Amino acid sequence: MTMILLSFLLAYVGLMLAALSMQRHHRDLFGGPPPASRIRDYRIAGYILIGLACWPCVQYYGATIGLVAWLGLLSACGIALVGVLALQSPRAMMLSLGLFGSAPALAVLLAA
Amino acid sequence: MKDNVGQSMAWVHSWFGLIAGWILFTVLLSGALAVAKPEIDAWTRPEQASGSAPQGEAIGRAEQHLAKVAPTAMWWFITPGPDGAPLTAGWAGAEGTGEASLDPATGETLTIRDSDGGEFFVDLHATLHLPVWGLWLVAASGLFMLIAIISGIVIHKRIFRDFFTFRPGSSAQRAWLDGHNVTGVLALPFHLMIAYTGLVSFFWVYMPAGIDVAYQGNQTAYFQESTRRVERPEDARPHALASLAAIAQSAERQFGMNMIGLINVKNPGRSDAVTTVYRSTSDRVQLHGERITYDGATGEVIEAALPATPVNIGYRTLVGLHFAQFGGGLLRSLYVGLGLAGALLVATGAVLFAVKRRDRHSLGTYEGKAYRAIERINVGMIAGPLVATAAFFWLNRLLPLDIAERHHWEIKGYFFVWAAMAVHALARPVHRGWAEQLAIFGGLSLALPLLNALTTGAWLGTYLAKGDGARAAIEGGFVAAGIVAFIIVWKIAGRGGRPHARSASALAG
Repeated sequence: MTMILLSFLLAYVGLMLAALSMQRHHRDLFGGPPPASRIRDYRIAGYILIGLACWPCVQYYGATIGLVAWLGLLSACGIALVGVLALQSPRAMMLSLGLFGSAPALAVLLAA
Repeated sequence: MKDNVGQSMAWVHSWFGLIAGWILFTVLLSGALAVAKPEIDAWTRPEQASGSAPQGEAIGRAEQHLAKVAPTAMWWFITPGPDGAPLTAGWAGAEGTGEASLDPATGETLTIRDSDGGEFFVDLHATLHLPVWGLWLVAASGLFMLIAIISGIVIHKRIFRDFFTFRPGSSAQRAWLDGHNVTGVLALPFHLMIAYTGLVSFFWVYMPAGIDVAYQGNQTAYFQESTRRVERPEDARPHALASLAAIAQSAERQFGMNMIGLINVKNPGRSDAVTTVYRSTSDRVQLHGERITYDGATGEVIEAALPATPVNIGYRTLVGLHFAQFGGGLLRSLYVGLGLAGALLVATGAVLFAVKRRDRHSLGTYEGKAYRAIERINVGMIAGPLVATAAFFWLNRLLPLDIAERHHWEIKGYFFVWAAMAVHALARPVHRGWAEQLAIFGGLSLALPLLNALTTGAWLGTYLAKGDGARAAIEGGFVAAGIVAFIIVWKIAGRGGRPHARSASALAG
């Protein structure tokens, strides 16, 4: 379970970075376009995290079910992210990151 | 003639999407619910078993029950339920068929209310609860869904630039288009997979050519060979049945503890009895459990667990991807969520169709009338099934327990409520139709825990306190859906029924 929550976190942060590399979403959140030097960093970091999100899924479910779960949770995280971005508020963004981040931590604490 | 590829694709997308969408909304909604069949089964049958027992013991109790009620039946079926759920013991033969739910811990017959539960939504999803042509209708709408997906990708000009874009505050048309694009694009792998695997699941109904040629039209021969079913020569002499409990325990040693999916016995009490144990499929994508076949009279293994043929594995993997019986609760909730995203995709598409054309034609013209009729049908085919679904769960608690054919009345209730909503949608102004039906749905959904508490004494709170995740998920899901419904009602009211009232100049921004 903790593994899957970790996957959700990686996927969510990865997608968020991919969104922040885009003019529109960066402007909506921070009032201006992303610095030109950062666009590439955001994008590459985002893709890496999205790819990494696959790893806990495969660990938990095995390769076949894990890949299905990875694709499914990427879609689910993407839809959740769209809802958060629509609010155009940095606070909502931080709150959502906190939620996704605390879930695996909580799971570890509860399990211990 | 259409001017170019883009325009003709747009035409195909709008019209195929709209007409198929009226069916697809119900198909996708009931499909999402069908994935939650175990949870819906638990909620719709609140009568509890007293405890759980190891599968081998529980199966032994089912055997005693069947030996009492149907010693001469042709078939016995025993399905051990998930942990703590009742187990099902069924029989079929010349005398008819029967089924009982048993307490796995004591073997007592449980009086469980007569409800189709989640099975109704499986049936609605596959056939719309119609005769065989319903399957064809659903298959056709699945094909149209694929066509709409492909043409939708072609006409979407900025898939990547609008990947995360949703602007609920801009013009109505923009907001609906964003919602349609986002639910479509972000869950695209799921939509493609589910439409394709859904069509593949019943290929032998509408594409039987391959089987017809290879097996001279004998479909039974095809299934016999592809599933390698064991047949024994007839021998009707009486012979005691080898203990099913012992067979179950030996099968568990091979499949793993609690990994028995189904046991069936052909000709129990005869010398040619065959007992077959199927492995559960809960830990794999392919919907195929190996089986061990036993001589029912002596208990010896006739045929050990064989690996499936490659073709069968391929087919069963595609079917398994569609039926989503693998990976446990978390993966199934992803399926439910993405299935609902698919329903939302269809609903936003249908609304967008109407919003786009609403102002192009004045009321008096023929086109104006046609488009207003389409808007009303939208209400009946989208809000209608939502209300009917909530009503189904209400009827499950409200119908008297002792009426004959009770489960038929739950289903009749579903279609009656849907029909009433369709008539209501035709009679009311469009925005009122939406608001009123969504308010009814929201009210029914939010009050479901209250109804449950009044009729059975249990509700969302007690389920959560007891750690009954399955039933809590159903009620929690309805409460969440009810809240969303009221938010939409509030938005419709706020716009005074003119969702397109805001200036189109927002489009430029």
